[in-house]
Amino acid sequence: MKIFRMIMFMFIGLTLLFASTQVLASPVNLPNAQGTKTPKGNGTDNATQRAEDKTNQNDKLHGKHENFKGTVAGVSSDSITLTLRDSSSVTVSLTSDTRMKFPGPKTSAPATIEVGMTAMVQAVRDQNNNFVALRVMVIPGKPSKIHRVGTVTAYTAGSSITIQDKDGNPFTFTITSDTKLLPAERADQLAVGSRVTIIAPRDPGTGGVTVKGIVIHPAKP
Amino acid sequence: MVASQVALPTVVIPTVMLHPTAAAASAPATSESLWLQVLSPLDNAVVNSPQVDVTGSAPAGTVISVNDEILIAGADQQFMTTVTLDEGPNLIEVIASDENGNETSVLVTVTYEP
Repeated sequence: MKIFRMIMFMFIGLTLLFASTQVLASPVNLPNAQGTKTPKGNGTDNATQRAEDKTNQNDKLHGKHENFKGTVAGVSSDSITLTLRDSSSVTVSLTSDTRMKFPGPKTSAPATIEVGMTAMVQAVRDQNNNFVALRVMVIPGKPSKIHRVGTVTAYTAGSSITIQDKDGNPFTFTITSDTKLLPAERADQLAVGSRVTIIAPRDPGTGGVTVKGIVIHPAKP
Repeated sequence: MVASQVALPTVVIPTVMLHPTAAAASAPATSESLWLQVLSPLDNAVVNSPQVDVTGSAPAGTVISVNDEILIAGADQQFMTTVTLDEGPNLIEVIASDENGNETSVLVTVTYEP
């Protein structure tokens, strides 16, 4: 009987101890916890809720990043389907957080993804194990720059240069302070009659074709 | 830096000679085809560094542009430059041209994952 009382006494003591720790640890007793709203605190609450939603959404995305490159077989506002090199296909969800990248000059780069384009998609899986796109990059069919080889027919340093290609076609380009002259040791040889390669955007902008660089070839004997 | 997989992108095109006989006699180098090989990075590589060295080879004197950088292949037929990457997929455009106006290019996609 004495032992039974001791066990009961210890049991009641432990129960009281456990109950008191739970009460002290409850959110009600923490500053700014739910139930202790400060006046005009709704904005903070909404922001907190949005942050929690975002965190929850991100928590649902999991696994390592996976990259897919292929031809766009279908695209809508919320998904993109690629045909991969091995002829298999993959469909990836697009969200408001998906970042789109269209390399190339802003004047000529496509603004939307279309069927037939080549694209690269970086994705992760959501809680349902479906792919969600983090980033999509469209790969242009042609390089954004072009090399034009010809003989200089007109040249105004810091302003413009005109060349004639092997077929006799003239091309005029704008020179800016960013235009590079290569190689440096032949830069002062650039003049009418020089044989050069012009590196410029493939598609001209509204202000004409601005030269990225001019390579001066050695004069032939 | 971690790089992964796939084949070396190589493009070879025949040189167009305007005056084959004269060219062959005065400048034997122009009888070569224009070719371009990007040795690194490999297409579809994934790297964890914000910068990547682009190396390759082309005939000596070939004008090379790598995105906004302009190079001339050395006598050893090699070229190298460094490209800064954005997080996620990046496109590296390597264009080569010779004095005859021939042009060829290789597009390499590289993904930067910090």
